[in-house]
Amino acid sequence: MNQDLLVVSGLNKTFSFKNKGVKHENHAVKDVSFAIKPGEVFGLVGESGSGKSTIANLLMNLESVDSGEITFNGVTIADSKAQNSFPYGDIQVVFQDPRSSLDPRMTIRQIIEEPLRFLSGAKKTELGNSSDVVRLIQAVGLREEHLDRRPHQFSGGQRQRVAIARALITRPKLVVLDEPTSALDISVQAQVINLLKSLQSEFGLTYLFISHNMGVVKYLCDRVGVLNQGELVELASNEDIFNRPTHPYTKKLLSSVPSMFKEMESQ
Amino acid sequence: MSELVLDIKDLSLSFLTSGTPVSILKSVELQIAAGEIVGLVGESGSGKSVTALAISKLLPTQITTFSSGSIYFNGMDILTSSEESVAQLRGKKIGFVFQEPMTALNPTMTIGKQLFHVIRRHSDLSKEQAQAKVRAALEEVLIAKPEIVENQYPFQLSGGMRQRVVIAMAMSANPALLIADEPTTALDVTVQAEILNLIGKLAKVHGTAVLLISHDLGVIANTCSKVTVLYAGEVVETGKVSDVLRTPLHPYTQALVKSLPDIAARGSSLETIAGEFPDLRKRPEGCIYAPRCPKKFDKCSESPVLMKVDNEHSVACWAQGSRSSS
Amino acid sequence: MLKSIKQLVKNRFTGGAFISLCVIAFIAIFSPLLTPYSPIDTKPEDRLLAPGHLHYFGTDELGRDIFSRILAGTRISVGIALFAILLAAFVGTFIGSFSGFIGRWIDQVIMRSTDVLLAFPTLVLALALSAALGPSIVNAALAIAIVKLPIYMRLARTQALSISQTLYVKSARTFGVKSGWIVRRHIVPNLLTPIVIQISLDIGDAILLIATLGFLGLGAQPPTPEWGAMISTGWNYLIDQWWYPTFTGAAIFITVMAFNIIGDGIRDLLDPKAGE
Repeated sequence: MNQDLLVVSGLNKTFSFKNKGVKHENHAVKDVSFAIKPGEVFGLVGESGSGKSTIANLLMNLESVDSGEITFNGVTIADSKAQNSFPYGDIQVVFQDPRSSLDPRMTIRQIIEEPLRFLSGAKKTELGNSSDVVRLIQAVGLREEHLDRRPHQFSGGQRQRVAIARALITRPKLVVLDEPTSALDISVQAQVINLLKSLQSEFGLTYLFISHNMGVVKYLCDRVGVLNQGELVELASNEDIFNRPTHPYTKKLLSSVPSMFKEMESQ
Repeated sequence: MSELVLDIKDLSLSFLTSGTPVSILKSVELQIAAGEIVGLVGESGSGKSVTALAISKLLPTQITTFSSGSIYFNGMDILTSSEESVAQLRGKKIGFVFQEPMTALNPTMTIGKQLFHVIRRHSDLSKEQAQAKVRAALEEVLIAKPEIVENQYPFQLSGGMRQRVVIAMAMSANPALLIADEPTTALDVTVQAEILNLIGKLAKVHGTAVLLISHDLGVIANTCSKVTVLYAGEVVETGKVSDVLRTPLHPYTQALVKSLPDIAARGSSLETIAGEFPDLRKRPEGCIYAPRCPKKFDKCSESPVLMKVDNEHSVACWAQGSRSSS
Repeated sequence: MLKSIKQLVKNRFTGGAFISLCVIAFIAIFSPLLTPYSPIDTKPEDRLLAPGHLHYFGTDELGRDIFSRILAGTRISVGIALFAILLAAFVGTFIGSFSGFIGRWIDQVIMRSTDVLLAFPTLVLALALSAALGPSIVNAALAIAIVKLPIYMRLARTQALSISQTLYVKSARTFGVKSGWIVRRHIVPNLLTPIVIQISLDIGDAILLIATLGFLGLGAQPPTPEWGAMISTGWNYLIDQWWYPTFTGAAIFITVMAFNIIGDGIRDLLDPKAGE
């Protein structure tokens, strides 16, 4: 029996803000539950306001959970009581915009090494002075001499490779990919997707892939969850979501995607 | 064949960047007839937005040098015309829709007021007639409650609604040409579908020529009848959407289509393009794509010109040219 | 760095200012070796001599060589101004970036206190502070640092607020990075550019403030050769011994101008929006 790597159950998050003295509430995540098995690519799709970014923030301990629970490797890492110790380094994230996710004042080496300084426990002794930096920069398709340069000397695709190397330096079990190719050109997107796939098999990674790009999700994900206004409206295998969608919102989403081949088939 | 609204011939231009001229566009050809929607597709740095700005002479004059070519708009040569006569065209004969609707809207003015000013500027309507036209313009872009939207400020609207308002403004003077530069890139897919439908419908009803600039082949495929593919400021392929995207002839177009994950089988790896985007400060001799091209041969050291493969499908590639001529 | 200096020198104004600054810096550093006479020892028999080949700028009412006193005063005026501004910039950047990054009530308290400081005109506040601290050159420097502090706090806070929103700070938080590290390694290095620009614009102002305090007797005390204090006694002699206050005034004028022009030049150089 394959134990789930990440279990999210009954997750809720509400943001409240005041506008002209009136209190507004935004129920960003409504009772969302899903589980990710080790080694799989789990996709979360949705449009703006669907709550997918909030879920990523909750998973990364950047926001606190209102109710519900997140367990990772059998250990509760977030619930409403807080005060859980978060397994920094075991869950890593790659963000959308590689222009802003790397500190312009740091060298590539400093950027990739940064997560190592804040590890705790066994990981600290194991990885503390990691020599993996060189191996990783090569694994993501860059060269050792790139390590002493700064982000502005690289293209968008190359910066995203650096961000991926930084995420992998702590040997994470789960990598959250938050729209990792949305800011890239088509041909560069293809390179990064290929890289993500080869890294997954090389390092035995599990991915949570968050995206609005249905084409990429269809190509990359084993199972897909569809979010609409904070609710998980459908959760199924890749096959079922794209060939036999059941929820009306999923159907609408899929029919809205301007695919060049849908057009051609109809001709 | 109907009359051409826009006819760009052999357009080459360069920008002066820190003292050195950078060749941005080289021998660009583009024709759009009335009522036709033509897609301009390319990756960043391909010169698609520069082309759009050149059409309305909006490029910074201090750094731009036009080295060859002409841009005819309804028979008038834009490049040799005076600034005043081109300024007359902007907004009235040539409408614009950009990626970020907020940049086109005044945040301190209600939607109705902004539309009213635009309509008054480009027509001789009386105040009452213009006011009535505001309502009609909003209705035309399928805004359900124009009487409410009229009195709202841009920040009160969603991204899709803002883009509808921008389209209403662009179309209010009934322009001959609408330039839409990545009009749906900042929008959600469901909204994108609605906006693209709207642009298609308006073009049909008003007989407007539309230049739709996008990096998304899917958007182009669903909206346009013709497409021109730009690579590093050069047209590599042009023709009917069904021809260019289904049976691409240029190796770059082929690679672009194959690099889309949409059709690739899961498990197979996506096709990628080897090498790097060329440095435009020293544009390589010969075919611009040759350094990255898997099919290059001796002939590619010479610059290819756009060669007709059939009536409407042209490609700038020696490999194709030699095949069709032999 | 070399490239930036080249660009500064290319422009006629900033080039002239740059060369003046080099001369001023040279004088400030080597003034004890350059002064032909002691700037402090009095020589009553030589009092109020007109400029000539022995005394280039003449002598003052106690027979001291004004040229020597101006050279010696360079170190005091420029040095104290630099010290005051750097102190304000250092403390202000530190407090401001924490205030912007942490936010909440701490930010509110800090920002309201800068409001209080900014409510007073600069000169009035500097006068009041140095009067309260007691007239001395060190207290004058402290007063100027305190007066200038809120500018740096606000500048650093605004920058820190926007840098806190960047993805690289968000990324750092996902590694479990502590706030102190984020401020030190991510926020401060990325907000230095506007701070450096502000420093270069403020130094001229600080030199003027020191001279003003000295003129009013709140800065350097006699016999220290401080420009403001020199003008303060010198202006009694303006009618008959015009050289006494005039050359000193010219020294202040040239130095402040040079710093201001260079400040503008550095701003144009470092501000990406101003270039190209």
